[in-house]
Amino acid sequence: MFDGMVKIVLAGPVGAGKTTTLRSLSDDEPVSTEMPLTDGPMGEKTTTTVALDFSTVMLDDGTPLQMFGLPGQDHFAHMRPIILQGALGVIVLLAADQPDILTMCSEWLDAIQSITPDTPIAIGITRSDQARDFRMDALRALLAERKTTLPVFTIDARDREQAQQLVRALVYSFA
Amino acid sequence: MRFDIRIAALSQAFEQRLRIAASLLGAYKINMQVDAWNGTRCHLLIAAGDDLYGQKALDIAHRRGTAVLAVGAAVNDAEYPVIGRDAAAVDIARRMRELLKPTTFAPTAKPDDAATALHALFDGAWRHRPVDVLLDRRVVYLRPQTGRIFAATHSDLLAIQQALAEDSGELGLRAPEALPEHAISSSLEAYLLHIAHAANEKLPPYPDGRYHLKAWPDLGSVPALRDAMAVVARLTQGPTSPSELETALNGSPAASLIRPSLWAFSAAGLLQADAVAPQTAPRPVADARKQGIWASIARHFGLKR
Ligand SMILES: Nc1nc2c(ncn2[C@@H]2O[C@H](COP(=O)(O)OP(=O)(O)O)[C@@H](O)[C@H]2O)c(=O)[nH]1
Ligand SMILES: [Mg+2]
Repeated sequence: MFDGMVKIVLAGPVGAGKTTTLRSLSDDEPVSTEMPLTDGPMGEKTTTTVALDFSTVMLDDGTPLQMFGLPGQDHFAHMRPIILQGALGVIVLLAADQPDILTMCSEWLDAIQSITPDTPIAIGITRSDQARDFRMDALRALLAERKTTLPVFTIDARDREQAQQLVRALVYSFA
Repeated sequence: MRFDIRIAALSQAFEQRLRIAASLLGAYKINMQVDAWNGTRCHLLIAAGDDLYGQKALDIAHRRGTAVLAVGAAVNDAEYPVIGRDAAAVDIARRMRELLKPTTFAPTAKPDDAATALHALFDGAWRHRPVDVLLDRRVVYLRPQTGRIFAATHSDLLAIQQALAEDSGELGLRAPEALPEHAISSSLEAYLLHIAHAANEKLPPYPDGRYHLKAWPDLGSVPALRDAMAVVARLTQGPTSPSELETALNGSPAASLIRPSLWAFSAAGLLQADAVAPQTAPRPVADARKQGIWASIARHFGLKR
């Protein structure tokens, strides 16, 4: 058993699929604090994460693996360092139908790497079934520019096996 | 190849001219069979646009991506091609030829006559190039640059995936054309890995040499072949050879995925042959305690390493 907290953090903007992915990765229903968002319309989305999503799975050696969903809104940015500190791995989620996906990707990688530079990162692209125009090349170019080859997977966040692919990619990010 | 033309709610006079048109097309070596529509897949449906049954048939066929031709009148606000109910046989022949053209008459290009589509895509002239693969009226659009494959329907993706895996001789290839309006898309690397895995014995051993991956292939949608990630991890670290991979992964579930991975990622345009080392940051090395935790996480999420 590992002493100290073992955690994986899910990051990304509002609507990226953090809550959905966390639910797919969990054995039990995650504890979520969802409240109606008051600062503007969010399309078909009526609720969003304004606090933390949280869930635990029990590993076979008895260690609880804790999984946190970071609040996506900018005005919760002050919470990020606290949660990211000491993370074993980070999954960045982005929605394929988000027009500014490249900027988002860049900003989230910067934010994470400024807090915890050596933590492995995997990137999950959700909702690609809703975005015919989504392509991988721009994201890959962005990563090449940053001199890194992070896994970037399109997933259906609602599918447990596909969500798990992201954790598996984190596992393989170690030498 | 024989084209399956179906008709619905046509007048006897039109049907007669249609049959003459069909025989005229025989001169172009375009052979067709004309039968009553029965709801199954066909190459072209010709139906009365001013008849309720005809309209319904046109709508259903069109939704499935089948070419349609409305006779007499356009259907409500649908933009189906229309031909006059008094059109002469030569005009009918010309329209049929045009409508069948986009997918089925396109010149099929193969590197040489001996190669099948499977080999053209994986170890032939079309690897890591944009290309359309045809099977009957189905088409999939491979666009390696974007990392995506497109099709009109999921069933088109699956049917052609299966045909490629079986190394079917029925498949055709053509230079890339415009995507259908409501195309769906999916990970190209996942698609190619599925095929290369299923067609494993049909592909030769991957040529000796040193290779690396310039980006992680998109494997989010292939959890069944999750162990390919072990191959990917090594290929993203730096140049390695097929035999080094065999040695390193010998006895692991990833061993049987080495060859399919190399062929698939090469066909997708992500695998680079080297002399030079890639420009990637060194991967973090976990300390012993963390290694133990990662091993538990790996087991929990279904990885046997
Ligand atoms: N079609 C589709 N919808 C998704 C996918 N992932 C998430 N969603 C939906 O996108 C919306 C936002 O997801 P959510 O998990 O709440 O995003 P969060 O704000 O990052 O927590 C929800 O309506 C989800 O059901 C996906 O892969 N495909
Ligand atoms: Mg949420």
